[in-house]
Parts: sequence; structure tokens; C-alpha cells
Amino acid sequence: MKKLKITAVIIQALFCACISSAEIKESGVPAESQDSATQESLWLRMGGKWQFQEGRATDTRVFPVYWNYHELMNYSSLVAETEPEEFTRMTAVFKLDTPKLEYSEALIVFAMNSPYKHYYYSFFAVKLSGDKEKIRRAELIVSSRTDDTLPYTAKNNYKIETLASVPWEMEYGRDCTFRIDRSKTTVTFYADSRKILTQKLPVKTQQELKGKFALGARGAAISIDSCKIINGKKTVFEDDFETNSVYVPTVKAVQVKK
Amino acid sequence: MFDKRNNDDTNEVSRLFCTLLQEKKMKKLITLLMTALLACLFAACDEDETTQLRWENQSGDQTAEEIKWVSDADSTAYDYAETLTADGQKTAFREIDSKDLKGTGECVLDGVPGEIMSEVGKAIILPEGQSSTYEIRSVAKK
Repeated sequence: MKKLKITAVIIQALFCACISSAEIKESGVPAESQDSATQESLWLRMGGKWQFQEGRATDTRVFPVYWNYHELMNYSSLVAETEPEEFTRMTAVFKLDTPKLEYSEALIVFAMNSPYKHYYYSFFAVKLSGDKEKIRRAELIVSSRTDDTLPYTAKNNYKIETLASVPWEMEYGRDCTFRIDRSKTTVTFYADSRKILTQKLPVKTQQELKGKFALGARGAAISIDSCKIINGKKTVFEDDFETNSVYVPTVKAVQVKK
Repeated sequence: MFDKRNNDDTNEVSRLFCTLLQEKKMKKLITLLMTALLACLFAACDEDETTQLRWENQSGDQTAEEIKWVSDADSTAYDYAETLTADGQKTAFREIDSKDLKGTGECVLDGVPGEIMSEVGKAIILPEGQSSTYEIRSVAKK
């Protein structure tokens, strides 16, 4: 009789342990969908942690995470979903805060292309760079894939070349209207309507300038107020960041007791 | 005379036996104290246990490539070498520094870093001093 009682107690204890372990296993499952995407997303998050407040998209990560598959992944960056046949003007209003690192870098990217999915090896960009005090330089850069025979998973298979570089100073913490005007294969970069640099691009046809647009920064927090892309008189892309318009590819994970 | 001496001897023996018994008790007591001390030491070691994190694929054989744990503190990235291509595959545990317990998992999805989340818009907070396993359940690519 006593043995029976002991056996019953052991079985009960085991049963309770099983139930509590099952509860732990399921407790992490989120009720809602993990997908932050909206049907009308205008941007794809390439990096960073973005907040949407007061009509701005602000990166809160600042510190770069280096993936090294292509340069834009190493920035807190957003890729515009649109890919217009042509563009004549791109404007972006944003500010960079005082850097948390010893440097700051920002990219205004155009004519961005990938041979597969989102491996954006090829692009042109205006790159702004500075130190702790202020932004000091504006450059026009071009990125390209180094070895076409390597798989997409190959790291550092791209190179960045500088096409033009000019000293230019701007304070941190204030909005600036950046503008890139394209005329045939020449681009001109303006900051608050002031011409900073002009450069003929190393392409043969305007068709080679077809591609996506992106904005990004690292070292300093970028806060974007608006972005507009125009072709002639037609606006082909516009976002004032009044709502969250960024798609973040998401992986759903659940904590389990193991 | 003989009897008295014999009696004294008996007393001496019994006193010795008692001392021996006491010593035995002392030994037992010391052993118990040592055990308790060791137990305390083990408990103290438990408190200093490291925080560890690993990932397991349970996404229906989708691939989770180049997983990182990215700290909210300063974006320190903890890299996991394993590419999880099939269900049941796990990464090894990685030790996470106590300043990096709040963060986000990330992995590469066709050239874009995807966020690994257990709840929409919320960072994962790892329990300090524990080993955590996160099961990757589904992958939303674009």
C-alpha cells in the first residue's frame, strides 16, 4: 500500500513537471504576426534600427554592423522600392547628429543594381564624411563587383572607387536639402542649393544609370525628413515619412527550454 | 586492591572510548561543514554562470544564413559560424557579455539582413546567467 502511494506521488510529480515544461516552451510564441511589412512599403531596410516619429525616419543604431557582402549592408540604410526608367533629380532632406563614433559617413545612392536579389554591388553615390566636429568632405563614389565568378555569399567581393572628392563643411544636427541633378551622364550635387560638385560618370549610355535609390549613414544617427525622385516634370517617388513605410525582412523565433 | 585497579582501568578505557567517539563526531561534523561549504561554493559559481545563446532551425527547412546577435548597447555583433539549412540543426552556444543582453538577432536573407524577432518591434532580452535557445520558426523574405 505504502509502495503504491509512493509510486502515485512520483507519477504526479512527473506529470506536473511535463506540464510546466510545455508551458515554458509555448510561452514565447507571439500572438500577432511577426511581419512588419506593409502592402505599401516604399523602402526596404538594409540595415539599422529605424524609428518613425514627427514625420521623420530616424536610425537609432548608429554603430555599423559589418556584413561585407556589399557596401550598403554596412550602413544603416534604406533602399527605395521604386526603380524608375530614368531620373533627372533626386532630393533628400536629412540631418546627421553628432557622431557617436570618431567619424560619420552618409550615402545618397542612385543607379543601384544587383545581379541577384538584393546583392547591390553596383551603384553610384554621393558620400559625405566627417569627424567629431563637422562633416568635412563630399565625394562621388562608384561601387562594383570585383569577381563575377564568385558566389553571392563571397564576402568583400566589391570595390569602391572615388570619382570626385571636394572639401566641404557642414554642421551636425541641422537639416540640409541634398540634391542630385542628372543631365545625360553628368551629375551635379547640391547642398541647400549650393553647388558642391559636378562629375561626368563613367558610363556610355543613360540606360546604365537606371536603378534603385538609397540613403544611409554610419557613425552618426541619420534622421530623414523627406525624399523625392523626379523625372522631368513627373514625380516618380516621394516619401515624407509621416508613416512607417519601411519593410523589414523578419525571421520569427521562439525561445524554448532546452 | 586488584579490584580497585581493575576498576580504574575500566574507567580509563571508557573515557578513551568516549573521546574517540567525540572525535568521530567531530570528524562527522567537520565532514558535514566541508560539504556545506562546498555546496555554498557551487551555489556561488552558479550565480557567476555565463549567459549563452544559440539558434535552432525549425522553419520548415528554410535556410538561416550567417546569424548574428547584435547588441542594442553598441551594435557589438556576435557571429555564429553555422548556416542552418534544415530543421533540427543548431548553432553552438555563444557566450554573450552582460552589457549585450538586450538586442536583435539578424541573419542574411538574399543580400538583406533580416531581423530575428520573437515579438514585433521589440528587442529580445536574454536572461542573465542562463543558456537560451531560440527556435527559428519562419522566414519572411522579400
